[in-house]
Amino acid sequence: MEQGAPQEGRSTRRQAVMRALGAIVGFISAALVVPLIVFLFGPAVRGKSSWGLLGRSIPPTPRSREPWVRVGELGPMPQGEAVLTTVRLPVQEGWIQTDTPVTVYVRRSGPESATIYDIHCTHMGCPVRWNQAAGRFLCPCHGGVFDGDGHVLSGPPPRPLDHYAVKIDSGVLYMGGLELPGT
Amino acid sequence: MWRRVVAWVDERLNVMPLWHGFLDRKVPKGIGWFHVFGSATLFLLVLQFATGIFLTVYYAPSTEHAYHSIQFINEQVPFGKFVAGIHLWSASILVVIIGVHMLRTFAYGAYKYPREATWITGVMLLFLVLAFAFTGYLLPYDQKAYWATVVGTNIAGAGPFVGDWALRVLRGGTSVGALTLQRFYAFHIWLLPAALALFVAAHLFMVIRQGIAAPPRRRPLDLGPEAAGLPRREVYERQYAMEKQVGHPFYVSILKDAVFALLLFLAVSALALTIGTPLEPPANPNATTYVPRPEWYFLDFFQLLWYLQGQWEPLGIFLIVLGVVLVLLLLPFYDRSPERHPVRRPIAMASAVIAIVAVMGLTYLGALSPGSAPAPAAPGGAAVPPGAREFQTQGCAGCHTIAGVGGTAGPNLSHIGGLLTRAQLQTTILNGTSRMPAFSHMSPEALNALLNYLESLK
Repeated sequence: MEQGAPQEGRSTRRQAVMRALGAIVGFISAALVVPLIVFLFGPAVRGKSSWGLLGRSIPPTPRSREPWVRVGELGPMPQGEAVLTTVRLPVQEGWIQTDTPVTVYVRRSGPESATIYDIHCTHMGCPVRWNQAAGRFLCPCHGGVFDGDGHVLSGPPPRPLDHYAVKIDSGVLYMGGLELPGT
Repeated sequence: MWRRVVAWVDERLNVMPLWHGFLDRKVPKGIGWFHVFGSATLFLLVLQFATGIFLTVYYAPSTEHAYHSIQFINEQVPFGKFVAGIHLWSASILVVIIGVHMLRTFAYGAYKYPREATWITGVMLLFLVLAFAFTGYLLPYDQKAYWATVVGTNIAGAGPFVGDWALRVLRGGTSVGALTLQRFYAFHIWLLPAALALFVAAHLFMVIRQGIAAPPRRRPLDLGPEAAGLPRREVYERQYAMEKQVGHPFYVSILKDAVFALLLFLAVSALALTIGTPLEPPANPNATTYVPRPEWYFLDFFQLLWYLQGQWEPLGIFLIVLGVVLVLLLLPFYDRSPERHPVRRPIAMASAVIAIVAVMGLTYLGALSPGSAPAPAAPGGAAVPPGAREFQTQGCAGCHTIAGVGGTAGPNLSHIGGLLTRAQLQTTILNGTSRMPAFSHMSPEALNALLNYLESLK
């Protein structure tokens, strides 16, 4: 607290100093904070984002560096059954390059057709299990049930199971990128 | 010796008046055992800082080494189990103590004028502690850590417009892996402690500057006829001065705080030494048989996720989170009546009771629910009726409980044979209901076996 009433001149002088101080602090803060925030967020938000009113879950599965990865011969795969299959994906995570084993459900639907499902429930990302007797995918977290084609039968999942692009070339099944709706 | 050191320092810095001012200042009458929870929160935060700083000596924040470094701390480092155990258990107890501290503040109406800002910084501290918990339990990189982070970041993804962006910022991209662990470590070790220190400092400054709120009186202190028309600041100051007059010195209260801190320390140490820090198997992103479960203090929210369905579900999640945040943060602004005594605030107290029952009920249901994972197939042999095996293989146990085993999404079927007829059961199974998928693909033999089994449950 100031002693007595401040003189008019002193008061405006102090105000001017305070304004200058504020400007300097503001400039340094902005010049530092903006790059720091971009530094923190930058690589994370690279790529396409969706900006809809309805948010969504995203499978935590690593993304492949290569457009197509060989899964295996289609011939010996049973039809109508979702088979848990491990694919080695060439992955680039920041500065780390690895061949990461990733499991997916491969479901052969005909002699020359197949679907590759991501293992994560579209509700919250828990790993779904294939139940052969019922022909359904069951999620262990909140009771989500998907049919063999990945459609939601019951429970909270807001969209069908996510799947990957597929290519069949002379009897060999290849897995492409994740086909996430809305991007 | 000690006295001479104090005298040496005091002669130069003149700090004893501050010290005595702090200890001898009067606090209102009735500041007692109900008021130990604030200082207990501070004590547990100090425990977190102390043990957390030392844990970084061995902990390695990489997907390859994190798990084994925690194992090393637990098994090889002298007192490792003690230090890591205190960090884990005091975090759990901290969540409880903060809850009690908030309830005490709420019941005493201490968030009202002139302490609104103290309440707001306190609520911010609650959110910070929950953020600590969320980022902290990825660090051991075991199964629970990995899957809780998958689920937790997906919840962030439910936010409208910026959800996708928030999810990526948390994960450090789209996948959960090395980059996620690294930034959760940075948040947990640097950013959150910095924010916490600021808010604790602000919160404590306000508590000391304003003094502890006097316990509410059913009838406000009478300031006499000359007080009529005084500004509310003046009225408050006069009343608080009267409360202090009949109060006691602060150092009397501080002993209760110390005794409670000692009890907490003994409890935390006992938990650390007996249970320690149990680890689940190392994180395996490819495990399709794992049932993700959060730490107990997030079970209520995890359980809530059962109840929202359909396309609008992400918006529902977001609105619930936003609602809780706003209800807590803005409490002093929408509850502006000066009345502080709980007996005279029936609506406020009833709302608090409803909130407590809801949180405890959801936590209880969440703890009870084994998840909707199909239970492991019952052991074969003549003892198991074929219908019971069908019940398992069709995944019915995912949602329905029989004799204590199974999920809780659907009704408990332990006594269904006495409640529904065979025809009713068959209709439900074949056609489904609004919440249950139809099982029309079952073979007649399998359906028959299942119906026989369900009918036998009385």
